[in-house]
Amino acid sequence: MKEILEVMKPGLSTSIQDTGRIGYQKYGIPTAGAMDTFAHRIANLLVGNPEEAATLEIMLMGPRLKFLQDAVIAVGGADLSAAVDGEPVCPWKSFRVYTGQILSFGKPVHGTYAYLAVSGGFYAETVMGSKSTYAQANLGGIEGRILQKGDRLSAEDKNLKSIRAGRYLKKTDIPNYEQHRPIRVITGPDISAFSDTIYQQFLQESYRITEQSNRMGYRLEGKALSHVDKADIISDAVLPGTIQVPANGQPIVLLADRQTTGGYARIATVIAADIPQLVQKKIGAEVRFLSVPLERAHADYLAQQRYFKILRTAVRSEE
Amino acid sequence: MYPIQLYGDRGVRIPFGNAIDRQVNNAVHRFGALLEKYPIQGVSEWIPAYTAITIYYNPSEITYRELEKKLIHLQKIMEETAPPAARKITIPVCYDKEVALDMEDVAARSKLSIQEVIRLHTEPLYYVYMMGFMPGFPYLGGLSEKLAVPRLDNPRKMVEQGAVGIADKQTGIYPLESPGGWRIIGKTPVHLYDAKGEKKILIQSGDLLQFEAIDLQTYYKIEEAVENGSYQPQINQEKEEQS
Repeated sequence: MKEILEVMKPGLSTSIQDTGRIGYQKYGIPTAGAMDTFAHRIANLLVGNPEEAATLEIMLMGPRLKFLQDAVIAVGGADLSAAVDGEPVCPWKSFRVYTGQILSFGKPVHGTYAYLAVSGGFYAETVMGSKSTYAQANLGGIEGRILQKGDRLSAEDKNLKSIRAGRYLKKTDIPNYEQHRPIRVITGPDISAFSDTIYQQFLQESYRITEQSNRMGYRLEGKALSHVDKADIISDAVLPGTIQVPANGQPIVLLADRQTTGGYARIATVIAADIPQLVQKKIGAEVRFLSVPLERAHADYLAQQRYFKILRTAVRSEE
Repeated sequence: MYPIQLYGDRGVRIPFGNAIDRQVNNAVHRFGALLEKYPIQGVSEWIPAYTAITIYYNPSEITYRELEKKLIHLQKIMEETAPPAARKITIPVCYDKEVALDMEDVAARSKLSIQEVIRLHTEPLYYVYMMGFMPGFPYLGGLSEKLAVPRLDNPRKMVEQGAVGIADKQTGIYPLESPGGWRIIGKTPVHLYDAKGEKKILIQSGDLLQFEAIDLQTYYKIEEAVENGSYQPQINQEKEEQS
């Protein structure tokens, strides 16, 4: 383990995340983890890490980071105008940085969450199987909080020198966060809390992402979705992408830092393959939903997993 | 057989009833215990709640059809096996006014003496329906109706870890410092949640809890023992009486 960088400026909300804390939700422990697991995984693969390694999740206004040793890094996800010593860096491509160089971020161009991966992976104490920061309970990451000025981050000490730079994602594979395709959902489980007319309204209207959106969930605003009877349900499990509708009729999509259970009727759940597309949308963006059958969702999920497998194999064959 | 419902593309939900009820909730936990005992490849975790269990799976490791088949099989096993014994955990609680910020208020609202509030709060064997809200927080059933008082009009910005409170028909313990609107009638030195300890979470759903009144001196003694790692919570196996 070696100190790899120092935080000169922390940015708006920068935290260590991995693929989340799995297996403790039955005790009320949220999973946390990267909001956009696709970008997180790719950034890791580009620097030769396992996909589960910890990255820095950077939200909108990025940090200013000084490297304390040479490393191979990659930035994936949102385009937040990353630059090294003022020179723009190519996103979705790994490159070498040298001791003393400064990685900074500027104007957000596309998307909301960027992921910085370093060869070896960021080091943090593993708490309940994960390094992910869950700030509400001071869990994981650096003292369970988002980054502060003066923090020194370390990388896991795994064959740092042998990693080659220059791996990149094909242009056609780079996600387009500006496209307006609908976010796909599986209906329910509390579909009986809504009339057919209201469910059709949910699928036809568009909903705006409000300022009260964060890692816990995106609060949407649009034509209110009324309940047949009442909004409250007996508290039950909520999953990533679960869309709950409280009494005011405005939907909330639950995300990485969601609590494990919730008490509002759940109209639908965003499919796994479309969560990255949703979380990368900016505040003010309009969202439309499309209901799909399970088979469609699984076909896309499997396609994504196959894609990761191809990338993994390609990376391995280089070594 | 209980229905198996789609919940997103990585979850399924099995409801065992549709009301807050011990029998229904027992079925939820028995099913959770079977998932633990007979692991299913591709199932990474499950979340038991009041009336249903939600199972999280990886579609690249198990197809929906295979999962459905295995869950039906587990339901058959459930019918044929006796419910496991519940754990009874004793939680020492100090009701001294030093830590019981709203005790006088709760006593006045429920028209009881402080002694009676303490007696009514320590008498029942509480049942843990589920965990949630925050890490290690148990949703308890069994509070005396005489102690049901509403939440504070103005929630506190900070409630201390270990605070024991009442909100309507519920009583609960804050596992960590948090904002909160429950009326605080006591405090436990025991950690329900300890990120650094080996056993992160003390309580699990399906457990039985008994509050035991302690004085301030005992509170500090236990607190010290908890700090230096020598405190052992009192946990017994108990054949649960079906109520």
